[in-house]
Amino acid sequence: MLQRIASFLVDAGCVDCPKANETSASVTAKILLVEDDEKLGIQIVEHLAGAGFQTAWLRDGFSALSAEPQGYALLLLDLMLPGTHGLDVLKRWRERSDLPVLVLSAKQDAAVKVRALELGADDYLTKPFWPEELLARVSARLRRPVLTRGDKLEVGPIAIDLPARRVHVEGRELELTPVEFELLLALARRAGAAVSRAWLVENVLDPEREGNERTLDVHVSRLRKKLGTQSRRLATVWGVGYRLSDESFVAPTDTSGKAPSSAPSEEGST
Amino acid sequence: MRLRARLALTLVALAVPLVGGAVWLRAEMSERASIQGLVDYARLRMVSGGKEACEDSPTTFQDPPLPPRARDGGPLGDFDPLGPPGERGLARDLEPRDFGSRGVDSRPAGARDADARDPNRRAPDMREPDARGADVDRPDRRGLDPREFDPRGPQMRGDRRGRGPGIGPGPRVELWAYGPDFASANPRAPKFPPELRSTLEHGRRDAGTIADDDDERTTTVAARMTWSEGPCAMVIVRRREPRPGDGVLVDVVAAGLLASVLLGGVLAAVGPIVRRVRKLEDSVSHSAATNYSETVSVEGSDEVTDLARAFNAAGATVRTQIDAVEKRERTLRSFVENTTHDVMLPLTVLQGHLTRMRNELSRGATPERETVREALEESHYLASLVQNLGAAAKLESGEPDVRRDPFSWNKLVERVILRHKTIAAEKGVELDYAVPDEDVRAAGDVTLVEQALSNVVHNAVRYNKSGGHVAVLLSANDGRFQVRAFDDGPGVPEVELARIAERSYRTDVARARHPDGLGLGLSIAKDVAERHGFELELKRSEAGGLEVEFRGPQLV
Repeated sequence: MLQRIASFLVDAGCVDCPKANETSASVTAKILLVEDDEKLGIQIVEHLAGAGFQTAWLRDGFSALSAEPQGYALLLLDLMLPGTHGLDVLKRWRERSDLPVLVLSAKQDAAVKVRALELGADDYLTKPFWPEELLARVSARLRRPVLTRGDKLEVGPIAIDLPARRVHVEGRELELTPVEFELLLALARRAGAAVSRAWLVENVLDPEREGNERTLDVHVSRLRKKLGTQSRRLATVWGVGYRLSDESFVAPTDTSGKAPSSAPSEEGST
Repeated sequence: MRLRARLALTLVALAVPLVGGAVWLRAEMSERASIQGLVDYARLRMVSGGKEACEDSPTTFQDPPLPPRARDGGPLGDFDPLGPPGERGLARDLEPRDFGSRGVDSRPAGARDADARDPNRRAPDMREPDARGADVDRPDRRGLDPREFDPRGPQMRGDRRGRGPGIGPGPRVELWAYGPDFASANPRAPKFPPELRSTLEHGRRDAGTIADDDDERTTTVAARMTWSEGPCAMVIVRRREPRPGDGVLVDVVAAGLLASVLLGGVLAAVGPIVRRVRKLEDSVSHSAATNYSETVSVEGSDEVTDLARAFNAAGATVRTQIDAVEKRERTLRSFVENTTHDVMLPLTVLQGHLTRMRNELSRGATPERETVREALEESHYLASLVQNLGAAAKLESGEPDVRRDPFSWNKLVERVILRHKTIAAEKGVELDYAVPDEDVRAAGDVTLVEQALSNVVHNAVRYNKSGGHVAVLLSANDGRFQVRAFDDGPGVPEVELARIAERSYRTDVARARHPDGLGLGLSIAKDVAERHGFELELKRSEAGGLEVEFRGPQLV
């Protein structure tokens, strides 16, 4: 088990890893939950299990204080605990481990949240929260770093060779202009997240030439054509810009060339 | 202890030892002067003929000489107390500066003046020795100034009763001569007093004692002469006089009178102060009784005035704190009331949705997706409402300033988006965002700021239709952050936008569920932005919906 976690953490992004879907990649991640409320605890464990996460559940602060961090990929910590305060648990854990910590807090008290962040919590989640919200936050914490082994960047079947400035899709090399390459690279570096048009105009387009958002759209349109079956990965995000989906599987674009912007397929939670 | 009593006691405590000390000092000085006067008298007497008389007939020498009629009597016969003053003139001739000046200085000015004004009164004193001591001083009596020297001692000067036998019993002075061995050749001479003898044996040139009995004071002095040989090397002078006890009494009475006058004066001076303090006390009590809403009256310009001002300052502080506590309590109470009212409504709606789903299930039917969606939305709204009421309570509590913790806008935007994504997806509203790679940080109360943005996004999703869009963009330029949230929903009429910018959530708490739906949430967003010094702009978005933009200083 430990080995599998280690391999998950270290070999994130490896080419041979099974990539049936987003959550299956996280099956190996074990989460430690510290939550005193029975009903909420059961729900969280169930939802995490439904998404493929294994969860160990501690119901009070004392056992959380003495628990060993080894073997866990993430700590979900409730702050209101009987016996001890969650912040003390957090402090104790930070002394021993760099494990990501997501704090669950019912308090609207900014001081507690700020203190939790100061003590090394990665982020917090305010109750009430939706199960999807929790899963999205956990997944974001456990998301594989986009980069990369050596000089290669891979988003699904799209492989980018950085030094050679070459791009292969499903083994087929794409003929890209320098701007198209930079555009793809910028999106690939933050695969899964939307990148704003303004940022792309400023950072991708050749500063020597007149560039505006319309120019950008033209480049995106050409790049999308060149991506062929994977063109759906390059999604237009309403009001924002573009996003390169990092989901393992995206339905191939049908040949009719339907606009991809309205396809919400990249929202894993829908 | 009251102020007056304390003052009086302090004065008495100070006056008693002071008066006692002064009386004692005066008695001590007068005794010393008296002794020194007798010593001077003895030396002068012996120098100006006494020595010769003594050495001529040491066995019978005494001064004044025993009168013939009393020669058979005791040594303490009825002498002229003034003794033979004739030698005084001689003394001045012999040692004019020394004795003369000493004699003058040792006398109170008043006594000298009295004598000077009435020199005749001294005449009998001077004449008397003539008859009895003619053998000694007759040649020297010219030029005698009786004021120069008076062996009777300072106490007797100016005392009319001591002026002679005719007026009353005056001092009686007698002088005896002794050899170096403290023994007198004159068998009539009294034994050399042992305490004086021991003092002289210890090297002193002279010594004296004063002893009082019931009605008489006896001053005895012993003095070595400048010569140390012969039967007259030492002299004892003894003076007897009525006891001057009333002098001390007068001193004490005078001092007591003075102290009383002083005390009375001080108490009289303290009176107005005490009155002012009492008035201040009343005023302060009154102010305290009104919870410090009434101030203490300030008049005059002394320490009591300062005290009154200090009371007012302290009272104002207390008043401010009481106000703050009361305001917080009112806020809390209205929060509980508003929460109860506002939460019960959506809860009732939620219960209705859940009941309908249960009924549909029990009929064997599948619950309508619309019912489920509304239930989800209602619970989402509930959570948001409670958080808003909490934020409103925080904003309204009157805390002077919001927290200024650094926070990451990137993370905040992500949290807000994830918070509403479930409901947006349920409604078919596409909710997305973009944040820069690098962290955009700002300072503030992260809970309030998150609530502000959350309200904007919530509104955008809530009043959008299926297939609509909501986007949030975070960017930073020139040290300022910019957060834009916009949608393609129905939008808000310009008039309403202006109203939102003007009104406060305070007026809207009760109508949080107003159909326009923009009340509480946007009002709080506006207030939070104000409290943080952020700019908040509401306008029509390019897509026709609402666009809300936060701008503020970036934390580097």
